[in-house]
Amino acid sequence: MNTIKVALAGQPNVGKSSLINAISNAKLKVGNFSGVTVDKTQINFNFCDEVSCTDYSVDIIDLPGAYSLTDYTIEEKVTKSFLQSDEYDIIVNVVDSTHLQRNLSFTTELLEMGKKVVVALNMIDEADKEGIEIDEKQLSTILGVPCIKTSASKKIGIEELQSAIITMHNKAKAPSKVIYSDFIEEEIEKLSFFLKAKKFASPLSYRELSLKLLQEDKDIYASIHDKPIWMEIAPLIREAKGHIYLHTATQDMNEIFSDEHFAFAKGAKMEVMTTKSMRAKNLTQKIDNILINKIVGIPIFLFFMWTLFQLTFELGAIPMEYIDQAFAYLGDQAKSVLGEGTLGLVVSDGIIAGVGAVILFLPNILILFMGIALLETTGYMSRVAFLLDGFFHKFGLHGKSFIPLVTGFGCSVPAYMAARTLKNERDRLLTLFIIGFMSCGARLPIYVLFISAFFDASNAGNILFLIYITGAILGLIGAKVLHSLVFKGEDEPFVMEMPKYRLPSFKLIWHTVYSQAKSYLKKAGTFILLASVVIWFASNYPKNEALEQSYQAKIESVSVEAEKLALTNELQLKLLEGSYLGILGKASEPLVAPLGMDWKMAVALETGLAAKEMVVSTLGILYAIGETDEADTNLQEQLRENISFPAAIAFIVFVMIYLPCLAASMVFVREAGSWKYLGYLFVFTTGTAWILSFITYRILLMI
Amino acid sequence: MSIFDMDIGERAKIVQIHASSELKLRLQSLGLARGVDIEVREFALGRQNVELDVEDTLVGLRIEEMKMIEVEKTS
Repeated sequence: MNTIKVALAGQPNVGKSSLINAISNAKLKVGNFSGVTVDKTQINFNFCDEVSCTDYSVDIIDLPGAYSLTDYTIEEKVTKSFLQSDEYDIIVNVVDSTHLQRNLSFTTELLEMGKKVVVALNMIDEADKEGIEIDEKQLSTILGVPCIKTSASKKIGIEELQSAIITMHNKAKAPSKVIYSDFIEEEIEKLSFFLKAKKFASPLSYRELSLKLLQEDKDIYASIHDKPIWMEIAPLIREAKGHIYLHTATQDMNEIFSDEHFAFAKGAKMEVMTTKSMRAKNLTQKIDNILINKIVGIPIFLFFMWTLFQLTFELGAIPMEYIDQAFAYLGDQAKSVLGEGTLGLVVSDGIIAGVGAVILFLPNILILFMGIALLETTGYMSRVAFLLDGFFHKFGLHGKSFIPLVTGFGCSVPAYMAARTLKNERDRLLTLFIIGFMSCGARLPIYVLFISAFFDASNAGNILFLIYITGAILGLIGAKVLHSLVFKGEDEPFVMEMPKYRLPSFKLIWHTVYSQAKSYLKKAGTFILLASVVIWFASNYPKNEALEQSYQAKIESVSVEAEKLALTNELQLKLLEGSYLGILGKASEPLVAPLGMDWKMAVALETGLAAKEMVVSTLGILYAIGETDEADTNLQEQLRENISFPAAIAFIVFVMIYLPCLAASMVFVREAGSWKYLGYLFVFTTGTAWILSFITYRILLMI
Repeated sequence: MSIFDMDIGERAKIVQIHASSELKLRLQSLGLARGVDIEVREFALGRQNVELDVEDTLVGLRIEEMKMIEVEKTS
């Protein structure tokens, strides 16, 4: 069997992934989200020519979309380095027939790679509809490589493409037919003539070699630099460049050749493409008239977002409840099977509870990502960036930052993942760092508890709103500060294509969502599991058997239920106080003392690092037993009696800003790409939380 | 004049792009180069961003990039 390795390259939004689907008939991971991963698909087929039939195994490597072979975006970097350094047989260049010229510029660059190339003129059905006619035979002659009209959606030209790949594979490589302006051709000719005269040995043709010398190709220079010919050819190259500069406005070879590619593509398009009639405004432009309209654009977008969040958090809440119950049941079962000993507790309270916490977020993630995938694949996401960029850019953010930030109000875990829509690393990191300022749903119970304990019921709604808004404003200020202190330097320019609107492909959306969910479960799951066990251990050890036994005896000796409960609570308090977590809390008391807090609040904040829900339950354990006689005293009253008003507000401020939960932190590490960023995030958020808490406390004390 | 000085619906030809080499290549790969005809489709609030029609490709730019692109109005 013959194996052919095919690199599939093309600009973004040309339908590469759908074309693979059409060729292979296989389900595979595709879509905008995978972004920088290079996917490989293997397909086998039988191909017959006039003589015989042969089996072929074709490996298709789906390269990320690139506008040109530069290092401008991560996608382009990946594509460029693959094409330059990896092993493969043929490049299949997928071209959007409705944007022929722009795509052909890229084709020209690919032709210069000196590899075998097959061009797929994709979306030919759409071009037909728009009245565009392309003479693919003529184009083949101009480019010197086969050009096949294809349509992934209408299944046109798929077999032709397959056979072109195989014919090309079995044929010797023909030299590139890209031609340049006369003044460049002249210099290529001179250099080739010299190389030929010297009978210089090279795997490349003399023309290719001369071209690469003019283009200042580093590898070629490195290889020729140590050869005797260098002494003679160096002045010739300098002279040739000098001649070229006479004709160009710049002396930057990249720019000069980019202009050449552009001109060649333009020339090729003029020769092969005809438009039947004046093209009417297409559908995309009509839709854009409404969706990015100054007046209605933003309200429409906000409505979409509102719907998405309603779905995410309302619809998502339904399965979450069941998941919660299922894991509680599983935990109980584990306890009854394994006993209440160490093993049973590790499994139920450590492992099962930890895994449960991971899976709990899955419905949210699935729904939200379905929504985001929908925004991405329809082409609406670029419009969102367009609409909001003006505002967000003032804070050093990008228009696309909006979605992760708003998601942060629901839950930081999907929010961190949503930041992937930001292609630029600096924009993405900056967004990741301030997502925590958007108060997530799990912090709500803490706010509610403290607001109802310290404020009048009629004011509760306003205070809650104030907390959320303050968080968001602090986040934007934080972004501005980080942008001017840490992520400084020139801003990435905002140059983006607004792709055509397309109907969503459900296959595509499903695979995006599926791969998201899988990677979340796999990576976040393992870390969270481990960390949950550690935290469980820290809050349960060292064991104090003597204390437990003495309390057990006391509990059994009293008959009143309320007293039993009080004693149980007291036992838990003592146990927690003596645990590693309690020891840590006590040790960190001096740190929170300037904020008016005691060790109990410190412990609550520390358990909050695991999950914000735990803050309330920890406070419950730590405070609900102040006066053992009044076991029915509710937590709110206890808090009011034990915590001063300034300290309570300082506590709220601290909770608003400090590190999100463990699950979110783990996802943060994965999305930011390094553990060191978690260190920075910890210092940044905790530092800010402490300082603002301190200021709040001191000001309130003075009033 | 630059794209920043144009109005919605106006057409123009690009005369010169005053940008770094890297950005120039980027703009060119999206079709924005000397001699190309463009149409302003829409500005975002405060002219912070623009949507251009460049030979049927819709391209979004920020205010900084708009000011770098020198154009000449065509009717």
